[in-house]
Amino acid sequence: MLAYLIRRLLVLVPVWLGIITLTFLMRALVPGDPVESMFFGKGGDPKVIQSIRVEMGLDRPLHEQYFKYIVDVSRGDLGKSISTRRPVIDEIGDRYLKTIILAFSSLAVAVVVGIFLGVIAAIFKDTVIDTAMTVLALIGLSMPAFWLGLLFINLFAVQLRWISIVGPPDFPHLILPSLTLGFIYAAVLMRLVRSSLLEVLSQDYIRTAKSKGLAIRQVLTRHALKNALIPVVTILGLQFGALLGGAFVVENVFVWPGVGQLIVKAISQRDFPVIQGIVLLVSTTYVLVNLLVDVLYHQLDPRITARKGAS
Amino acid sequence: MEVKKRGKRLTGPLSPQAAPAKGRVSRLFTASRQLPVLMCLVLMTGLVLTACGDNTPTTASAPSTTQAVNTPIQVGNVSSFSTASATTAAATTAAAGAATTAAAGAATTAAAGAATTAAAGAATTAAATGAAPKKGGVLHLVIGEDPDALDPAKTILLTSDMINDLIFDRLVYIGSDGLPHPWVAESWQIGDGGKTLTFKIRSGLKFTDGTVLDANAVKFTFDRILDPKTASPALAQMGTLTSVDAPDASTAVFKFKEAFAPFFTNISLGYGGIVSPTAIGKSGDQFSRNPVGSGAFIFKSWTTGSQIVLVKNPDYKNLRQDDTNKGGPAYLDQIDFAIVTEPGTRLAALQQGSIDLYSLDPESASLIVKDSNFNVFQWKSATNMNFLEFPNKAPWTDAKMRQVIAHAIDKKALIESAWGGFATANANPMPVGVAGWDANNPGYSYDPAKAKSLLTELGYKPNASGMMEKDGKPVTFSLITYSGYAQQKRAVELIQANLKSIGLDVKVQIIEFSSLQTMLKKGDFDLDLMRWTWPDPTILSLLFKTPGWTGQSSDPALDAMLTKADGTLDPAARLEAVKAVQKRVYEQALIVPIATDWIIVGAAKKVQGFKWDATGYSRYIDVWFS
Amino acid sequence: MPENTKETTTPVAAGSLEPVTLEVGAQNTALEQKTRPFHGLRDFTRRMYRNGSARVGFVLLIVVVGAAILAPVIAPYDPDLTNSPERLQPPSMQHFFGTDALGRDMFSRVLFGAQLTLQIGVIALSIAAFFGIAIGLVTGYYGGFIDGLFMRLIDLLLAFPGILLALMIVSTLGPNLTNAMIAVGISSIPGFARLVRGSVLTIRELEYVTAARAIGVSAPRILWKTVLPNAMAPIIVLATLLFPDAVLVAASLSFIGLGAQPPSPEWGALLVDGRLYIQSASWLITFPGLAIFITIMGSNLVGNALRDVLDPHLRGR
Repeated sequence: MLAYLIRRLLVLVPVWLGIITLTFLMRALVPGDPVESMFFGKGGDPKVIQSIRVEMGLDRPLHEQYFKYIVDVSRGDLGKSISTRRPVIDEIGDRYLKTIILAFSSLAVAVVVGIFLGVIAAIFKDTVIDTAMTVLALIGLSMPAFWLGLLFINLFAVQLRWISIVGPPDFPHLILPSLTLGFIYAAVLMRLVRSSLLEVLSQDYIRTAKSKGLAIRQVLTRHALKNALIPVVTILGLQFGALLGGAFVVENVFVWPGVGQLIVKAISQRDFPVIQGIVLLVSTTYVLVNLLVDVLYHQLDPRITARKGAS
Repeated sequence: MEVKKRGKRLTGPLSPQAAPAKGRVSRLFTASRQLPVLMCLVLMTGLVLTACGDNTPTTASAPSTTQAVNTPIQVGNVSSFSTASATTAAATTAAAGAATTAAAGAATTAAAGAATTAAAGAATTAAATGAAPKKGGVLHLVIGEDPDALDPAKTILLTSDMINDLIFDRLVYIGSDGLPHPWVAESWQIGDGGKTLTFKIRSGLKFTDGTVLDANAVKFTFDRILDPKTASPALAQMGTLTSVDAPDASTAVFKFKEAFAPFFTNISLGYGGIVSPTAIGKSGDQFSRNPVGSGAFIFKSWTTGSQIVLVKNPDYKNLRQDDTNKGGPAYLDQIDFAIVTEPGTRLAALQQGSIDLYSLDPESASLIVKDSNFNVFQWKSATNMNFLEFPNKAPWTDAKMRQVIAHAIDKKALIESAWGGFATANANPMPVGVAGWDANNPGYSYDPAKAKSLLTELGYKPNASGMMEKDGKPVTFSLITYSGYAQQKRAVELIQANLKSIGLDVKVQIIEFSSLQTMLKKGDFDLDLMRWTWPDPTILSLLFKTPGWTGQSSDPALDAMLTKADGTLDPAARLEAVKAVQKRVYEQALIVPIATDWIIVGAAKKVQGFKWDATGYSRYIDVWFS
Repeated sequence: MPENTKETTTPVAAGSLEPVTLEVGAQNTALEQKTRPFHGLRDFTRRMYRNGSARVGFVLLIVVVGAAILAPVIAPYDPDLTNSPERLQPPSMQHFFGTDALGRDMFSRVLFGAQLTLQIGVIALSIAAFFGIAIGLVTGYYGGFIDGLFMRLIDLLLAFPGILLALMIVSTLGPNLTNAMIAVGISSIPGFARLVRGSVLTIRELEYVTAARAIGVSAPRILWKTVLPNAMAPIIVLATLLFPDAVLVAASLSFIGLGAQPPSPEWGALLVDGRLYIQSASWLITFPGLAIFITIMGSNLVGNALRDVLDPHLRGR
């Protein structure tokens, strides 16, 4: 297991190298100069522009910057933001935590709501309740996240005035964005849980359990649900990437200071160190979460074991 | 058979189908897989109906405009301001000039409204209601992004500037007469033909960290900007300043290579904020996150991406004479800036009461104007300008071609559609609210026929479908602007339609500012819609002095005129020089000025005393809650 | 279970809203039965028709496709024709969906927007499918170094949330609709590549393929004649399920300001323009929103039905 974990973690190295290469390629190709765009063309003194370039190391050839960056990253130094001239890690750190919080709380909403509704839909298969659940799922699946977010704000904050939308990034201000994002992924999960549970319920061993006279709730919780959740867990990991992406959009609608807001700004300002930092962090998280999911998967399903040399 | 039976037994207890009472109902829906979808559609139809239903009263035109327009000071919940930073007559004549220029009904009356209120500019709503200001309370404000640095020397971002204004006091401020007035500096002398400025610094002033603000701190502040190591974006605003000396604690001597007239305005803005040398020594690079000045408010905290908190400076003695709150500290205990990127969310926050005051976009303005829960403040003679500019390449090097565009733009329709009526048509290459704005310029009229005939003179011929061709080849122009602003987007779409109606095919590109800048520099465009905000006539030099802000200007005759305007310290003489520049730019149609959009602020009813100063800073020191 | 299923079962498409529950395990059984369950096109259509949600899905998609094709005929106005005096009119008999801030007819704009949205979906998916299938076939069949190299590349692409990748590509290439399509296409490549590779891995070892190889049939021919047709069903299902995703990502790009350029009536762009009027003129956001909604729902329904019909392992739910 340990060897497997290490091998999976080693995958991160080529991913990091690839990302750094890609972002430097982007640096070379994207029009627009980060230092000049700081000045908005309003009489930026050439001397000043040059001294900022020197300070940031932007005056050196790109390949030199590339190798220096790789060395710096391997030391844990992500460089300095060009627009604020603060260390990238300071710029991103706090915000990144916020994005992760949002992603996980949405995931929690999605899991709780999705599994609950999915189980209900499966139990009441082909009834009004099932139908109603399907309706909900279809709506969730078919709505752009930012549209849903705006509708939520308009409904809960403006019309009903239940929730304050502006304020520090604390629990009350987490509710609406996680509901928005959570609802969409709950829809995904709900359908998956439903079909997965239906499949499990039709298996022989469940019938056996049933025929042994076990109470239906016991059958459901002790046998069926656990097995039904195996495919769900796999999807969760993959959905996490989508969830992070969704968080980027939703953060911009709500007042939630995550990296989604920052990267849009960084891209428009051509603040490459910040872009690189965010992309590195996000992809690392993504790889780690999927690793976690695989481990969880193996725990849940004893039939699959992690073997050495599995490719 | 057996299997089936078993299966049924399994689902039996789980499913309400087994219950006979529910059986019928559920059977109704069973196996009908269309049902979810049908329900979805019904739901959505409902949504549509509500969408159409509850909005019916909202009519197309912006009724608010007329409401605002016909009011000298205040009608309903709308107060109009016109604190133009113009020399005495300039503000009034400026607005009257707009009246003659604008073909638009709304725009005309708007400007007229501004003219009548000009005198009321300094008057606050508090004065109008006559109540005594109350102390205390937290004012909730909103900004659209994190500031880059709360350090006057390290930013030119408007968001940062607006907060720095509250933390840092400056040597002088610009009054509604367009002239500098004493603030931290008690008085000053101009010597050596404008090459030496000697400021007398008031004694007894303190930074909020308890250290003394004297001439040495002033010297430190400006030396820091001049030091290339600081890499200060404010350096360009210092013009020809070469050195600062502090012979004694109350004297600061500024030396220039040549006389530099915009200097007073420039140091009255956020860039000129006097910083605490002790605090900078202490926090170094982190000063921009822990700023210390001598202003009416003290920086307390900054939660990245979320909020910035300033608290009242209890020992502050307001030295500015243009405020109603003279001599004392601010009425408010605290100001919270929430950071909200999405404009729709900002509006929702205002309506909900999470924020007290918010600078509205035109879409929101029409809504808030109708809402009796809010007061609306309009600053009509603002210091911004929306205009079209050209590259330094054919066919745009020909003044006649530029005039074609000037005649083809329907400013009235643009103001109505792009800015919801909340803008003043502008004929001059300067913001309406800037001193020296030429009131007597009629501007190029909206005249598509004239534009077409000019095109014919230039050798363009319409083809079968009515689109213009030159030398048998169809022409297509690119119109660019920066992304992120709905007004800008609507404006370019309408300009595109305007030009199409005279037979010019235009492709629109809306690009992020960074990419746009590269295109502008390369001259890789035909028309560019731009918006500039600057409170001083030196905006003309910033825009047009060779090579121009985008590298697209080259007019030696104009350069000489600009040098004269920037080097003349006598206000009246300077304004004459400025007018000469405007005339030249106008005749050459170097740019096509379109409009100055109004700054519109929506505020909760309890907010009293809100006003702007001549350079566009909101004076929160005067604000109190009823 | 064979070891390589671990990787190949990990389905598809980071950034996909719809989990793609095609598993190679399931695929295997599907293949074994493949000789059986299909009696050609007629059987397929019959099954699709029997599937109620597929019927509704098809109707919805036909509405959208019809709107796209007939837009020039049925649109009452030029979608780009501005008319300031009639700005922000609520829905009426003259303007079914009302007018926008420049007085343009929203009904006509939404109709023409259908063309763009379908274009986005189709072009983006074609890009993704073309490269994804090619990579999947080659890596799955040859294995070894090429496989390792490409799979690391795919890992790299998968390490980005779809929208982040699209964001970076668009800001590199410049913001317009074509580049948005390319971006969405590229970010969907990994899904196809992994799916096809997984299928190829299992098909490769089947007896008739080994037999073909033994008698010296060339590799491209085997891939083209034998392997690809067998992998086609899941590819089609994946494409249908990724279509909504492409539409949503394109709309999100417009939301961030990196999508369609004006006066393009792309639905995402319409939604973004309308969002400031959510209270004062909500028809500006409601109708484009509904249009997106209907398109996505239609393709979701059809996609699910396709999966049910083409993938017998999951049929009957």
